[in-house]
Amino acid sequence: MVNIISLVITFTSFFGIYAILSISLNLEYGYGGQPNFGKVAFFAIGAFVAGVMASRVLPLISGMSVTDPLGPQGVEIRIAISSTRPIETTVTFIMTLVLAMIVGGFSGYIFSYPALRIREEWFLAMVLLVSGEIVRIIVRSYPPIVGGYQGLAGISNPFRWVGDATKASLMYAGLILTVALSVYVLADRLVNSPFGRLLKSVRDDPIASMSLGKNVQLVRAQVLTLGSALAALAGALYAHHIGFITPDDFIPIRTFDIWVMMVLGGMANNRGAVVGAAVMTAIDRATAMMAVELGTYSTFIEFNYVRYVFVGILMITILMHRQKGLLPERPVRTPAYEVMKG
Amino acid sequence: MVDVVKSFEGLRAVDKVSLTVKGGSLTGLIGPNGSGKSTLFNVVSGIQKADSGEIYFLGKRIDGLPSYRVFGRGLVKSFQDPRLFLGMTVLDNVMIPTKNQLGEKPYNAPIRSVWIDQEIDLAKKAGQMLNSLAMKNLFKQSAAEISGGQMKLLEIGRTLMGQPKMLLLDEPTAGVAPIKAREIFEQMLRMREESSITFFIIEHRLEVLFEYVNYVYVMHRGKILAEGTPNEILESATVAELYLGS
Repeated sequence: MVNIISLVITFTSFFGIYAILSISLNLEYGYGGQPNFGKVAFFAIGAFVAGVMASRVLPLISGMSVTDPLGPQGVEIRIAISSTRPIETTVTFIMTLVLAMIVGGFSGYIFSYPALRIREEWFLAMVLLVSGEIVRIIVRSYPPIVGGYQGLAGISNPFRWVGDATKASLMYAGLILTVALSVYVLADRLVNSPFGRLLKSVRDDPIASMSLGKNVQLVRAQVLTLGSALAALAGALYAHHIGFITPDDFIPIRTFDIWVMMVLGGMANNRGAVVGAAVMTAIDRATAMMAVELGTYSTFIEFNYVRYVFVGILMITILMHRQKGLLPERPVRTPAYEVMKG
Repeated sequence: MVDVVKSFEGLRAVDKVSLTVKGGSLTGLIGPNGSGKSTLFNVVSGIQKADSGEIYFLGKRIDGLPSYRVFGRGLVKSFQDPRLFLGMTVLDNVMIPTKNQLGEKPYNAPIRSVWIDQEIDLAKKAGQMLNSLAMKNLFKQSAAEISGGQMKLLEIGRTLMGQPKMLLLDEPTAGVAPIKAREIFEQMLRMREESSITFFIIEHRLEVLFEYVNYVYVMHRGKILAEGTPNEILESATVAELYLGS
């Protein structure tokens, strides 16, 4: 029997996280024309930062010593802190979100730096794709960061201290949704401004944009830094929602999922990015639930993989019949249009 | 510019070109297709880097600068085939080139109060520009949906919004009706009077060009073949033989 509250919590949490990812890619590619094929790397970086903060900084600011932060003792201690110390837990969580954005944004700039000087955007796409895999493989092979391939458990819900698990999850889902809404508002303000116009000029014709006085290389770096910071924010929120992270969660197919959300919803349209995230969350959750439900009847279909079939069919249908996505691109909205009408 | 060279895979598109464009003049650059005129403009405007040679603008060296910095110095180029931002409206295309837009900084963009006044002033100027191009009623239209002639005019109008000191116009009247071509040149004369803008123009419509320009350079196979006033060029036997074919 499906628990409705648990379904609402899961759907809301994943939708919020996916919406942030989709909006961030939309900023980079939909508006800025920068194909980030390493999107998952920045999502992963946010999650890894959350892992490091939970395993090292949380015990440290709580004044507790941990001899084995990655092992069972570390898990016990951080769960105990999260359950009983709201101030330390909240402070660490806020620091985690801020630090994830800083590290994510900085990484976005560093990874894209070698490719930004090249005029061909698809070279950037390849560099970022490879960078994403390098990050994952390093973290997987080097246990001191977040436990290597075994991963890291006990990254608690920041509201665990309220006691009731369902209440804590509902509160966290609400927080994720609030953060996602804030990201939407920020992105909408960014693109409906002269900066949005500048991004589109770089996307449409970087050579013409440059010849009209725009520092295209700087604009590309700015949008990739911003997009990567937002993806890392989503990664940190994800780690605290799932409670356990492993580098194998951040394989390149995740980047493809984010691209599907953006293309499905409509490029250069933030509402489209949100709609795409909602559709993907629905498919994701429905197939995950079916996998559990049908698993009990020992059917020969593995529904976890049926998800990929659904997504593939959806993508082909959209590309064949609605190339501009569910909600097509909208012009940049600034007060200039009101002036022209008047 | 002095001894400017630009080669592509061994072919010298611009071969030791030295020339001077007088401030406040309308200067023409003519020559057969493939003579290196557009490459020369690309090199001057920083879109392509010169292999060697020196380029000066208002007494300062500009060779080696990226095109956005050349633009910043006041030297602006329009393209032979209009390179409009086709995913944007006509109005947005005209508003892009203005320098120092506060709202273009990502940290200012979300705070409307920082840039709204500047944006409104800019929109008024853009409206005047579109009005002078007889395109004001098209401001909301996508740049991809206007005619070829309108694209050409918009390309020129867009460069003017950058408040240039010198404009490099690559075939500004190509694809434009003959009567419109003269209007474009009349407009250039007016702008020269009002704002002292210097024009350096590549043009194939010699009958129009020679009517308006003060001085002409003739380019052939990457070199400057001849130079002089329009009358001197028309009377030059070398030019007639090698370029005009009569």
